[in-house]
Amino acid sequence: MTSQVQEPKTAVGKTANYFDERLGLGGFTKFFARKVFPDHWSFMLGEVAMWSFVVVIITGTWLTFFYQPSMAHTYYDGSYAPLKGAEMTVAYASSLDISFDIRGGLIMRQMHHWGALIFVAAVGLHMLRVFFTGAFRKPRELNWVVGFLLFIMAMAAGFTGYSLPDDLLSGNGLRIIDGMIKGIPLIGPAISSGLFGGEFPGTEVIARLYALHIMIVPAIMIVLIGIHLMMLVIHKHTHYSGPGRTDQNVVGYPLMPVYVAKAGGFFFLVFGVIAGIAALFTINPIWNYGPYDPSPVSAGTQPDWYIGWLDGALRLAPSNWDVSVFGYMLPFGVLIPLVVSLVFLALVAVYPFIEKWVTKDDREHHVLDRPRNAPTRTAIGAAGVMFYAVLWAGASTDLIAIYFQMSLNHVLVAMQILLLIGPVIAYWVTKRACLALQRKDREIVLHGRETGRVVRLPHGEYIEVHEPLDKYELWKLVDFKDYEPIMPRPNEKGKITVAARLRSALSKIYFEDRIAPVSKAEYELAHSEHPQEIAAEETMPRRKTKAKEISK
Amino acid sequence: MVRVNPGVLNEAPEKAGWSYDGIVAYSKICTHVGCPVALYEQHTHHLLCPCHQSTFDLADHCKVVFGPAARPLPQLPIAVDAEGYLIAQSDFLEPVGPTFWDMRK
Ligand code: HEM
Ligand code: FES
Repeated sequence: MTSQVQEPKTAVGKTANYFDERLGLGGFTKFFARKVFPDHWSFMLGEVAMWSFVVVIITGTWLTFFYQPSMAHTYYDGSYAPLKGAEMTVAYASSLDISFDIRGGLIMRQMHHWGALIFVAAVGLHMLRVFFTGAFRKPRELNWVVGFLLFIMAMAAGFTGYSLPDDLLSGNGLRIIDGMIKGIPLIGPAISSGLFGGEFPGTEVIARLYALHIMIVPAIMIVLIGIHLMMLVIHKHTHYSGPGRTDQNVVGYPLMPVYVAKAGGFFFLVFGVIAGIAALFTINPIWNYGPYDPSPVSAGTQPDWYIGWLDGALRLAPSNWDVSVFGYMLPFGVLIPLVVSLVFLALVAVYPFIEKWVTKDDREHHVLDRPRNAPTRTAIGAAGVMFYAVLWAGASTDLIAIYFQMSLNHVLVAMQILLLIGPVIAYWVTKRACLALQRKDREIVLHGRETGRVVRLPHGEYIEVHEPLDKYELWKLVDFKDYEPIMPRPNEKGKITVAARLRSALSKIYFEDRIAPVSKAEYELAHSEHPQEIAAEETMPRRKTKAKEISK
Repeated sequence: MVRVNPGVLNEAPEKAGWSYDGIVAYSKICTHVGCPVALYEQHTHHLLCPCHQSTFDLADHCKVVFGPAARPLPQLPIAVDAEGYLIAQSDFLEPVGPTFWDMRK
């Protein structure tokens, strides 16, 4: 067969050819257009994050046209009557102008703020999805780290943005940050005066935060998102187990046209939902808070949700604990929360490496775990979520106390106790629940699903008919990896190192209680032992047709 | 530091001569991380910081009775001048605001 060059005839074809001949886009398009993406609702969370980021960028860019990052003093002269003539910074005045005097300004501010809240929430949920399904395993460990950095940058973007309007709430937030920075040993006071250009509040900080908020942080984020998505293309997406799905392939829809249509449409959904929420529910009504002034503060103030856990950590810190070392002061009430949150974040960042070290598993994993099939990981995750949740609730101790009419002191002490034992309970309960679910899965695989139909056999015996599983379900229940605890082995020199001992101890914690997946032999044995019970095909013609459909 | 709101009523001043007729003056900047300690509860004579609920006992030199703060709020010694105005006898004798590394140097 001779290959012949086809000349394009249509206008589109000619244009495409023009670019292909000059830029070589053909191969590129072919590569991307045929990228396969598996389908599952949980894969959508990352997409929500991406699209809400786009919304935040669009609205944020719009805000920069009108916002003025200046701490110069001015008297308000806009159309919001209650603040008329009030002394305030230009930053606050311009935020008020955006809200009241610039057409469409309020909806833009509201969309920017709601978009940011939803963005961080989506990032968080996406992270949890990746964690609980084990999607961070080889070869995706580095992408987990990139995602983690994005999570940190998201909090940084949120915090720097929150401070820009220079209202009472945001000023108090800055004041708290200043106090925390000051508490850092040795370098704290210098960092603080560097950031604020002298003593708090100074006249510089808003302009500096602005540069961080609209230049540095978004630029870093865009680069990180680029790397994140590139790695996604290189690694290919993971998929859940099912017939034909292995660690060597990926089963799903092609990017063109299916995913482009889906994802493109999805952007408008995200945009629409954010716009809808922004139009219906007020967020950050800065005009109610008034301009920043260091002396008043309102009770029951709260930071944006994603900063709450850090504020909670500050509140739950032990009381009355300043230590003087050679005349230098260490405020443990501030340092302990700081160190605890940093350690927590560090553990999140390195978790994939910890797990890999414990399992000694160097294989690539492209099939996701069901959370129950990795009981210890799931339990660790639950403990982490609990820890975060208690800190988060800790930021509302005052509101909880008022709402339930309890003593603030009791609420706080209860939270402190919960912070310590909550994660332990969560770990234990989750691990037991996972093992129980695995046991149930084994049962179902070996004996089929109970139907509740009791049948009398010709010789008089009564049995309950168990339905066999169809192939897809069966696959889901048996296709998972399972590890055994590793024994400490001597190295080449014949010595058992401390690391080997530690690994075996951790491995024991991870895999001592384990439910192995049903093996082929077990499966066949079970099905030959109780033929009548499981061979429901004879008693249930309905099933038989279904089985045939699948075998097609 | 500059911004200080003096003048919160107190029943039992201990540091004689620092107060005038039951009037005492303390720094309003929380020694935890610096919020204004803005809430005063009259019957317990406690000052509460709304940020992380550090509570200071005004009757007892603003010692920390609850919450994450560690140092009492610094007191400003006050007096009354010849014309009947309240005046500060001196500056704060303690650093105001959050604890920091080289505050004692
Ligand atoms: C290129 C990206 C961005 C630009 C150009 C931008 C720009 C701005 C500007 C000019 C303001 C002050 C205007 C005002 O509040 O009235 C602002 C506020 C804010 N920004 Fe951004 N931003 C960007 C990204 C982000 C991101 C990624 C987040 C969060 C994850 C974020 C969160 C916030 C928040 C919470 C506020 C306070 C809004 C309010 O008070 O209503 N921004 N941003
Ligand atoms: S700033 Fe006052 S308790 Fe934290």
